[in-house]
Amino acid sequence: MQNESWHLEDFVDSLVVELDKTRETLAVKALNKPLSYTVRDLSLDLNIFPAYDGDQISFTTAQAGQEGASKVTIQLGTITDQQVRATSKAPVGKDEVKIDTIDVDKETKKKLRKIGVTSADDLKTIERKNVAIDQAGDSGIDYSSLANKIEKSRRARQPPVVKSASLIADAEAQPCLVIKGEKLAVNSKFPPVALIDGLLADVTASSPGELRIRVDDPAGFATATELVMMVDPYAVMRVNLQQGAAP
Amino acid sequence: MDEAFRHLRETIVSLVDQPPVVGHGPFAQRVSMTAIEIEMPLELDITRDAAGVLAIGITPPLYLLKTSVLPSFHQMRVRASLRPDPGDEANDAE
Repeated sequence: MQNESWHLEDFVDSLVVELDKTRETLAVKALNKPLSYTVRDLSLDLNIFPAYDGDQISFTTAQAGQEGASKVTIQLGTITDQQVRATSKAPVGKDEVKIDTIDVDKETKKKLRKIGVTSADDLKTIERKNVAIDQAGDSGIDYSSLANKIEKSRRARQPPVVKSASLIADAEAQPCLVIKGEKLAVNSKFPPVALIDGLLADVTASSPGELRIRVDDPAGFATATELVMMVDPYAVMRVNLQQGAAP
Repeated sequence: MDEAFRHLRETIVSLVDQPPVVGHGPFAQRVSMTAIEIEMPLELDITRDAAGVLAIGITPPLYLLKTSVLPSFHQMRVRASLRPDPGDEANDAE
């Protein structure tokens, strides 16, 4: 029987889960017994063989008859939730972009992990402190490319949605296409751009819920018309419109 | 996990599940144990389940015989104390 090789992080995770379950079991027992024990500390001295593959260190526990093993001591104590908050980085939020989920190569992810970056927020923090991340720790990370990929990933989680299109006359009695939807123009730094059948059209107003596009030839909508809207560098929509009877 | 091994939590719960007050009868002397500290050798079986999660199986030394090829004995220390204790009250107050 050969023991699995493991990474320290995996092992400690499993150990913590075991200890948590132990404490839960003992807490349930304590409901019926006014006096019972709870675990305060756990320490393990392990005989292990470490191996380094150039990327990570893995360990294999020593088997029967094996000599020359190294010894690793893992000690788990107890800590309050307040102490955890004070000494740990806040967990990555539900809407936050994790570095593991964006489309960057494995090498870059590894480099980012090495300098403690696990989310887009971590990168922002580094940027705010004016640290040149491309020079941090000999990382060779292309920050501008990374920032683009993060924005792309963030936008992919909140894509624009078109719900309706209608042709009206605007305040200047000019024909105007009103596109209603959700999360349309959300980037204030980038004014939306629209093409009607390949020709640039004037976007007169934009908001997350609505786009107003000036139409030069409203009669063109009698046949299928292609409308392309680029609401920010990471969201391009293509819709086909044709004028029909009002519902 | 090999059938001779148990999950770490099962072993620890068994170890610390001791009567806090030792003594019998109305006139017997009674001893109260406020803490238990156990240090023991153990054999370890580490496996990975289908989800890739490590399972830590442990057992005290399975055989007392000194064979020519001995298992690798790791060491575990567990410290448990009575609940509730002053530390718990301090934690509750936070």
